[in-house]
Amino acid sequence: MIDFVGALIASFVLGFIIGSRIRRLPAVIYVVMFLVALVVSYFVGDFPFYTLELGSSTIPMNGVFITSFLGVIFGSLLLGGGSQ
Amino acid sequence: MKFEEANQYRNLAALAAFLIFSATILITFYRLEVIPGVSYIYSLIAPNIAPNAVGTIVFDFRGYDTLGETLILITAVITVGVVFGRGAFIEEERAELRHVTPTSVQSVFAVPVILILMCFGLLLIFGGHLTPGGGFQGGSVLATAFFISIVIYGIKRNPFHYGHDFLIGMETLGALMFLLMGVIGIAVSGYYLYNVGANIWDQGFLEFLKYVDPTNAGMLPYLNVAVGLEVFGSLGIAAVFLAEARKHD
Repeated sequence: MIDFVGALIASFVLGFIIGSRIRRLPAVIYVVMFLVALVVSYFVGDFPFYTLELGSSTIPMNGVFITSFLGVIFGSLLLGGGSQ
Repeated sequence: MKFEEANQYRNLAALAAFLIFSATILITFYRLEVIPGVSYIYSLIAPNIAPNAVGTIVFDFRGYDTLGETLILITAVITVGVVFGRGAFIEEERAELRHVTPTSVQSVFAVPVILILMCFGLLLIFGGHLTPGGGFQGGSVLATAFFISIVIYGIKRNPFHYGHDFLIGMETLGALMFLLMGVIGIAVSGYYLYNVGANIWDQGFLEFLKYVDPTNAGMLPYLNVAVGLEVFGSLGIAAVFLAEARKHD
């Protein structure tokens, strides 16, 4: 059960706002970056209490880090404009 | 609407805002009672408000101090703008970092590092009431990511194209959020910047940014977000001014 949904939503929204001014990048960069973000969030771990939980098992990844990354990416894709 | 007319409305709005915030702060000071030993009592109960006692002290016990610090930052940026900002507004005299060409290593690693830094900055902002970190630190990390992009790409070819308007908007939004949070405090308790929602007073209606802990930090997470936006905007606009400054400024 995730009991910090508000933080996930707020980090996505703030990431979206910040990402909205990043120019659209090639798709391969987003894919590679998402994998890198997963690795980083694994090493960030449960700092600070934002560990994802599925049922009784705990996924040692930082939820807010991933949602803020997704927010940045979506903001860049939807509002970022074309690359130079 | 003509520019002069719009400017008049803007001045009137600024005057109204100034009067409202001055009145609320003066009312708070008028009602303030200094109780001997309150600092000792506060140090005892601070960990019951949020796990990060430092964050509690900075935003709850010394909220005025933090408000002053954020305003100092705005003043510093205005000073940078006055000294170095001429190049930003006169197109012919603009002398930005035009000849910046990223090296191979920078081309490969710049975007990933900057994106990860930005996400880490957001994480620091949202964890400010839980662990060491907070709005100042998170905003600084966000601004640092933007600095790196300016150093590597310059202004014009920068994929992270945060312009004056966007950064000033971020700064204004953050400062306004902070000031309005104070008004919520005065509406609920009669004290400006009162920490509404901290569970020791049993008024936990600000639970959107809830977290896994028996404590409830009340307004602290929202103040962290406000300060984070404000610091990011301020430092970012200072970086843009410096990058666009004329060479002999």
